[in-house]
Amino acid sequence: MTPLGLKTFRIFLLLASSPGIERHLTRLVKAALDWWSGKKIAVIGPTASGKDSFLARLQNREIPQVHANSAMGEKIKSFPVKLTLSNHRVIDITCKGVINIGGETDYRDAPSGWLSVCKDADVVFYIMTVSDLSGKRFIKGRRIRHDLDWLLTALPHLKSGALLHILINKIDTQIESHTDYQLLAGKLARDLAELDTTVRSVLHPYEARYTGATLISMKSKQIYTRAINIVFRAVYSAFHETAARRKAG
Amino acid sequence: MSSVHSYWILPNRNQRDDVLACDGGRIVPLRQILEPRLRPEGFSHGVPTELLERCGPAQSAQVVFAQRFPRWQGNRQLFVVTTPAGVDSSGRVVHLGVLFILEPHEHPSFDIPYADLPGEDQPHAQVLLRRLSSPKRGDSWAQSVRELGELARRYGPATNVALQRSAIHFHSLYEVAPGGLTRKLTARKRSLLLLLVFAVIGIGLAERACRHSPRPLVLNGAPTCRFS
Repeated sequence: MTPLGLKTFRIFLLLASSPGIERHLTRLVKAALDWWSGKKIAVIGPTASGKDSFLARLQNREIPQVHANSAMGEKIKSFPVKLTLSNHRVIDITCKGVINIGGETDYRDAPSGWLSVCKDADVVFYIMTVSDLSGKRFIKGRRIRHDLDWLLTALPHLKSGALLHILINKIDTQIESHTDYQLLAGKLARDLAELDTTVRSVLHPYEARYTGATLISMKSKQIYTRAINIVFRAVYSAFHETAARRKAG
Repeated sequence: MSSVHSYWILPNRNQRDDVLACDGGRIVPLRQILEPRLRPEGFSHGVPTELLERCGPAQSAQVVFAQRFPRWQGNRQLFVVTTPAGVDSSGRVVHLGVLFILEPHEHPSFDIPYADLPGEDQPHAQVLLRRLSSPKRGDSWAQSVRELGELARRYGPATNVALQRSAIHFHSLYEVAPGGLTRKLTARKRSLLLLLVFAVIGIGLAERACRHSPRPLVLNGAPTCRFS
């Protein structure tokens, strides 16, 4: 394992001890394999948060050589995603009707903008960066909070039962610049908890649609692989819990 | 009196949350000039990624992309021209553009000032304007933009070059070819070409059938008439 891989392992191990995340890590329901198959996803988030890179990783290719600030909504051909889980089971997901779009607020608010990208999706991934997290850009008046407010207005127009998961990209930059991982993990856990509270309070009427936030790095394949497995399990677990609660109620 | 309004759409070099524009003096968010909700479907703030990918890193700096929306907000027109203009802090290609808001009878004019643009954008603006005002022979990108400016309104939303990944359909004049652009075949020309191909195949098949026939290809002889 490379030093970065080892550091990543430690960080994820420390974060896994946070309440809520452990459940997702230990729970792997067989039905998740069937549930994810054929799901449609949408990827939105501020500019340079890593939307293009996430699509590249899902397609199992490196970050494109010609990389541009996305200027208009562009269709991407359907592509298969194969995720190998820890017990060697494989999840096959077909990403269909994917549209890639820019992250500036101009795209968010335009008629052919984020809403048109999200309206048919089963799972919406909102990508932000770890500096948005530590810089508290989710507090009132700042960009991430504006996007959360936008999501609140958009959720009633999305597919019924569409889920939202937040990806916090560029964790590799934090891991590389720290030596005290216990301290870093503690800080990240606190920031994540604060973000979680904000998201739940902003999206209150649709809180059940929010499946959590996960630290990830699109740049580092090792971190990406570890994190994306957590994400796919977490989304399914949240869906399963909501369905069970609805059944019981 | 001409009411042509032109605005520069600035490259997002600092990865800001909004797109900036220059209205000939002030630099303001583009949304103050053109409210996002009023932007037509498929409106692009830069060169679509598919064009940059198809042209490759060596050719992509030459790309000029233009869109025309002839019936915007009633009878007015939106015309936007964009080109790559360097990279942002993450090394991603960013775009410089000119947005025209035109009355129905007006055409875009590329004689516009650029002295108020930020210093790093001025060389890109100068090159773009020079290419568009007097396209050099062989600059098919610049030529296609000029032709788009003259296109009849009946074609509806149009682009200078065909897009394969656009979420909406645009009429287009050219398509990407190695080393530049080639003019797209019109539906009429395509039908004629198809007809010609069928005719050639038909003749070939007929000739082959005759060659394999036991009957002589041509029955020679002359009619004889008897006179009594």
